[in-house]
Amino acid sequence: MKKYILLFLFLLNAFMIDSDVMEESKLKSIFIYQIGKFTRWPQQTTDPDTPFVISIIGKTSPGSEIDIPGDKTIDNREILIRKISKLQEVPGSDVLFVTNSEAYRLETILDHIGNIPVLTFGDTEGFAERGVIVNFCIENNKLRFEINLEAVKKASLHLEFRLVKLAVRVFPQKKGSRGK
Amino acid sequence: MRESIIYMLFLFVFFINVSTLNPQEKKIVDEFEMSLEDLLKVNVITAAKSPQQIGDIPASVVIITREDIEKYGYMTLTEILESIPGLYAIDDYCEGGVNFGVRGFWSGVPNNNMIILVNGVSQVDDFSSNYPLDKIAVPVEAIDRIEVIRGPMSVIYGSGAFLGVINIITNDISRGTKSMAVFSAGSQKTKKIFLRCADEVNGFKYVCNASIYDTYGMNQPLSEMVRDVSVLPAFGLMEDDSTGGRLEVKEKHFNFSGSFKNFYNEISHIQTKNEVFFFYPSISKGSIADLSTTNIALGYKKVFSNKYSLDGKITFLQNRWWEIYDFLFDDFYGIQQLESRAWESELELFIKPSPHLGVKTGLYYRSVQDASNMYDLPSFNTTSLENNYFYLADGSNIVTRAFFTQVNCKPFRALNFIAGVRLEQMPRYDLAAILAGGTENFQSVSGAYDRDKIEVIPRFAAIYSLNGNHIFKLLYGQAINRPSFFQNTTNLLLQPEKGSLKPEYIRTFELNYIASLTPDFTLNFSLFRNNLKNLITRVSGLDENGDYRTWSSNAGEMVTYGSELTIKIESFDHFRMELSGTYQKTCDKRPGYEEITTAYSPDFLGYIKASYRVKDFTLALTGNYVDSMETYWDGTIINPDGSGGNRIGDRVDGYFLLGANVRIDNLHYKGLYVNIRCSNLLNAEIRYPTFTNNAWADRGMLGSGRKFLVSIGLKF
Repeated sequence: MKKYILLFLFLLNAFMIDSDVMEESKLKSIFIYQIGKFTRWPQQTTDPDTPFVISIIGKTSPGSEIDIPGDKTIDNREILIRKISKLQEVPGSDVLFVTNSEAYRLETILDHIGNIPVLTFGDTEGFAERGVIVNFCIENNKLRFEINLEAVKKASLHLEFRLVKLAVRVFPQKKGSRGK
Repeated sequence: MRESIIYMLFLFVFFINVSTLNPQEKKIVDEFEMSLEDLLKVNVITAAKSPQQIGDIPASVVIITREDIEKYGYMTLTEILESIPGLYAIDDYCEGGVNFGVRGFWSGVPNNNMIILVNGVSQVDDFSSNYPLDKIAVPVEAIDRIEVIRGPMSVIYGSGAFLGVINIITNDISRGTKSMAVFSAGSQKTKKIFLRCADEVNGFKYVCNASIYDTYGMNQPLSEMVRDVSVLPAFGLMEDDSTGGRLEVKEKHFNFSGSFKNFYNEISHIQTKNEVFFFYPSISKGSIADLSTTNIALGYKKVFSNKYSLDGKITFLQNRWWEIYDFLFDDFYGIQQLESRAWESELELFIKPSPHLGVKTGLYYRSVQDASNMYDLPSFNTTSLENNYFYLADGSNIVTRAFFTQVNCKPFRALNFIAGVRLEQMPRYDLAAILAGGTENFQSVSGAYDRDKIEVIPRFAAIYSLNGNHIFKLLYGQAINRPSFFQNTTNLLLQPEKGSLKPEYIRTFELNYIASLTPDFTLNFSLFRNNLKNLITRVSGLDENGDYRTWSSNAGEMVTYGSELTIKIESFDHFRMELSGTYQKTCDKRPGYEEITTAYSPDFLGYIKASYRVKDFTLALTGNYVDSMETYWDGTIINPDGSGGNRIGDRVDGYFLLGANVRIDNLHYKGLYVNIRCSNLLNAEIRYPTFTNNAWADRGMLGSGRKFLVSIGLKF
């Protein structure tokens, strides 16, 4: 019996890869927080009484929601995370996270936002091409993001160039370009 | 000896290796301040370990969130469970609290159809292998989420997950509810104080919930529960007596969840002192069921990479019931004590070799080291009820051991196949009893439960997802429910000729369709067929000495066909509505019972929830309809015309229970709220069908009338 336990532990030990790991939803939350810090909005306020609003539209499952600790701030503003279901609720948001369930009406959502300065995020294949500013994707077990610069311009936002350099793909792509 | 030293040395090196992994946790205190460059190096954990989307779970799932609980203002866990499609309450006033039938089936044993977990820790009572709500007693304010998985779930959860699993989460502070204090008061002299403190200090996360709950209970006339009022004086009661002051409830709940790095622990201690009616109506202050239960779990959860993770847990569980009976006349003396103590360990390994393949496999071991039932009711003047002590024989443990594995295979993005199997065995164990101790009829008996067959429990599922908005699930599963220590003692020690009972068995086919037609409109439709066999039913009769005896038998067989439809509408600003209906038909397949309507099985169940919220003001309504129900068919009853067999009580009518809730958040101060809940707003008559343990109430047990509860709380 002991032999089998030793063999099991040995195999397990061999599989233990010494790497940093984190839950996908937590990693996305950190990225949103960090990218938010590297973005400038037109007429940006630093009034601590005005919360920095992150809105989430679409379905999420319990335990996989975007969550940022209460002691974190962006430009001294307390971060408020809220779920919305109506497009009318978008104004007032600094960030809008569009979940996978909204894929079928993404264009409607983006049309509704128009030129409103909202930093849009997604985590669905093709979202950046379709006009979402930052779109998460997983490549080689790592969380990566794509950026749509045309959408950045349309929203009159200023993203630090460092973000663009770190993006795995930048849209719109030139003809023949295959991304980074 | 040398081999043992090498073995110990290897274990030491292994655990040192394990403990030195994940340098990220050592280097980084605040992950939110990691640089983007560092974040891009982090491996991400996906489906294998993180909570699954409802659409991916191979079962029919209902989730109740803290937001739902606050919005609808549920007063108790019982009220929450009443709102879950497919579940319906049966209150028999007996020890253990309110019982729940599921999908047209209630066995008669309090809550043994579904496993109930709190933060993943089983709340089983090892004496009866069931999950009495009195023993769980989680205050609603502590609940962050309830996950209800319907359908046979024995592959992962083992014996008992017959019709599903309820997992109550009280330690999730990710949604922002950390510390809080709540005071509640309401009708029936109900009072409750609840406190929660939660925080994260240097990587140590903890949540501590504590509450004290006290209620006088309902005041319903006993004369309304019996066909012939003149029987009440025979029970030592006046004809105008009521349940008032005889169903008081006092509960104390404490729960602590902590985690540090990869270790986690759960500690809970619950004390309840509930007044109950058990076989006879109480005559003065009520028969008392005094319960003390403690669970302690220590676990280790480690994610090695996106491909491998491990979760191991050891749990200690202890229960003690002490009951004092208040029957028939003033100086009646009758007591009962039930005790159990168990250890449980479980090791689960998650392997995800590719994005298309995931394997969950594990080992389970449980050892009940002490189980006993002592009762002494000398006031009945029957030696069969004096100084009886049933116990697990010295040196014998009730062991359950199992191996399980479940494979998820995703050959295409839209298609997911799941197959799993569990091999579970309960080796032989010995029981003993001292009967009529100290009397001239003293007897010492012993026996053994010797059905040690390895049970093979399979499940299969296919899930097809069309754009994530149309999900089809085809589900097949089996589950078992092993006979309890109590059922085995009554059979093996009192009627040894009956032999060892087999586990109850269920086989379910289900087709589930989830459609998100728009973000405002979700539809969930299920068709299911449950085939239940070897159901353990209580049989009663007179033995050769003329003494009344009851024993258990695997005689039961039932088939349920059912359909469930739930519609969620969020199509107006601030307005949410959920409508649900279940239609089911259960047939008793025992020979001779085909034409007899199945007891405790309503054909139709309906549920409605609606809420309107403007800023910090919420108005909500809840309603549920339970169709009429028949009572137990007792084949030993001899009718006046000489024929055999009849119901033990009247059929009860269906009822509609309407509740309303008003809540105002951030009342002058951030986090301060007031909540006013009214249940049974229409003061409808609720009548639960009587059961054998309170058959005197042949017209059925009355449920509570209109009730109010006002709560003032502060979240901080």
